[in-house]
Amino acid sequence: MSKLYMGFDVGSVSTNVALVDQTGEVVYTLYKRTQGAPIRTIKAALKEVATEFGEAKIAGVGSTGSGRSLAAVMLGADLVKNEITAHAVAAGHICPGVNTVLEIGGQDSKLIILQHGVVTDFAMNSVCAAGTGSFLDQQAARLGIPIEEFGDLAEQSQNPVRIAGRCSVFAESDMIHKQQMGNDIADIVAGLCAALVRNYLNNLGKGKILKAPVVFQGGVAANKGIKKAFEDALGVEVMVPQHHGVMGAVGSALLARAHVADKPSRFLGFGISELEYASRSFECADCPNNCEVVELTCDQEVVARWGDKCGKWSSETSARTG
Amino acid sequence: MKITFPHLGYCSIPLRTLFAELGHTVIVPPPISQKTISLGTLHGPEFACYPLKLGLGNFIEALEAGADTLIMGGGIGPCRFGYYAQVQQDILRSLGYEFEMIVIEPPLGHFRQVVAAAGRLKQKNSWMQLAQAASFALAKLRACDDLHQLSLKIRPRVENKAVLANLYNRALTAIDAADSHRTLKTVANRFQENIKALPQTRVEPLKVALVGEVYLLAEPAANLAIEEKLGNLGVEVIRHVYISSWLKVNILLDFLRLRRKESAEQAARPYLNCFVGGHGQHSVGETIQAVRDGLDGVVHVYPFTCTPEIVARGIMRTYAAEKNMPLICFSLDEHSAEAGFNTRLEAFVDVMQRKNGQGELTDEQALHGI
Repeated sequence: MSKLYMGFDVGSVSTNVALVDQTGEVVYTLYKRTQGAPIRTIKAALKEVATEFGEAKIAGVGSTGSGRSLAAVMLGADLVKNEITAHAVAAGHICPGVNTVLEIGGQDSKLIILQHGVVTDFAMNSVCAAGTGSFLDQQAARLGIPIEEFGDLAEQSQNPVRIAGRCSVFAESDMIHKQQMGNDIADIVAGLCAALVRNYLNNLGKGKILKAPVVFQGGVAANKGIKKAFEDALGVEVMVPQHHGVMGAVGSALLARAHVADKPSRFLGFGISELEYASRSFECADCPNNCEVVELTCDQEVVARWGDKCGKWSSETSARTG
Repeated sequence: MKITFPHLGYCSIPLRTLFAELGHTVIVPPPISQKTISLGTLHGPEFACYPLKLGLGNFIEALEAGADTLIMGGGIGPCRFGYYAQVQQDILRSLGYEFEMIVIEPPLGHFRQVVAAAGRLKQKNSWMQLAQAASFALAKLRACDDLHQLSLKIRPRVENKAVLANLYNRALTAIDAADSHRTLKTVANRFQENIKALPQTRVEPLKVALVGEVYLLAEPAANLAIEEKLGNLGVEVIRHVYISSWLKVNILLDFLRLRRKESAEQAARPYLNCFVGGHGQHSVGETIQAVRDGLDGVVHVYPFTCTPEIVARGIMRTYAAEKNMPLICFSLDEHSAEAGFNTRLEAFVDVMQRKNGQGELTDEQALHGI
């Protein structure tokens, strides 16, 4: 079997895995809910990969997402990358020549501008969380609509209602108000999609020229209502790649492939899903910074520490990753 | 008098020296911690900018430690900093503290007030002794600024960042302890040599201009240690606004009416030809200079709601886009989330590297850099 490269994207809402082969072709993807327990989810995800690729040779491992450092220590990753770069790399690989990447994940939204395959500018939502997957999830649940049907419902609308979309709290109260006024639910859902897109473009797109080809990725890209709202707002066709939900993991795998080249991987093996990982945090009282230090242990042995400003705790345990 | 003052980076070192030389008891507030931030934001107005809140937190902690005289900077012009001394004074009084506040106004237009404040602070010392104490304090400030500038240059190149951080902290302690011009010179030189002697890589780092509002530039507790993070990611930080240069521009040049000769302000003039308060004009000017000097990017930091810097930001964004210069702006306050901040910073370094055609970060940098 040929060499495979594994990418882990440990996000707030989902933990995704992608495997690419030597040509960069995506051969396997996995999408799992993180459910606030990244350690457990990483182990479970790895176990699932192992059932399908037990014998395969993992030649490189990359990690990304907000849990990238944790995943890197647990897996023995060869490369740790921020999710902005990982998403840009994946988009550029799957859609060569892409100029604009719209990415909406669980907690974060990103806008990435590329020129000739090189990232020239990016933005990430800062002030509020409106326009993210979690908010859509929550609204779908509140309205009793399965999230998969949310987009279809939006498409049925003839006159979308205008929803205040500056921040998710206000958007929700405005939605409730429109519901109480008797507006049609499809119109409200379509209005919400338009509001989220407006909020996204106003917050992230400020002053940036969004040129076609435009790629829309992240979990929310599955939502046809949001895709249509983007197309209406931008006036161009928006492409949704096949693996839109796991593009961070794909990018991370591609980055690992480029990084490892012919060097041996530091991957610790599928066996780690059987190990006992635990984490705890404590406040270091050695100086007035009072840093909150997080400690990760594997079978009672400390494998990593984070969070100290001075490096006193974190420098002790770099052996496993360094 | 038991004197205290708010923190501003390592400025407590020269300030402690100045007041101690004049025979005062100096109570340096505890370093800015989570507690300081909580105290400042609890009692400060929500939409005041971060420097007011942190300063307020410093004052409360110092008053609790027994201080009775607070020294605070004043000011005039579009930046709100000018009335912060008054606001802080009112808040602290309403909390029941008893103290005296001495506000140091800019000498231009407030010359008499400055002389009066200096007169109060010098106590029974002669004006000559005041001048001597001030000159020693300034020498310490310059030694700290030089050391800091060296650390910015060396950090991306040094192999072991933890050793550098340790040396840097020890150097600051030694400068603080120096009791004469002579010992100051000796320790400053010794640490400069020690730092320069650290093993370095030969890779030429990316160079970034760090511009923005002076408090956010100078106080690592407020800017989430942005300089250290950039350095650890392998980026040389070039910063022109230092407290010593700030004093020169805002106190001396202003007073001598030579301010308009300042190079960053001159560079800014075609795009922003009036004073918008604080360092707004400087931020624009330094962005233009960064493009001219061929730097790899510009990082802009300022307190959330800072009007002068928001004015500057609009101009900087358009200019940077025109010149194809990577630019990232951070508006920070007590709500700044460090995880998102680190992600943006890392991605920004990637943008500069890819534009430059350089390789990626080494995994060592990516794993432990931030």
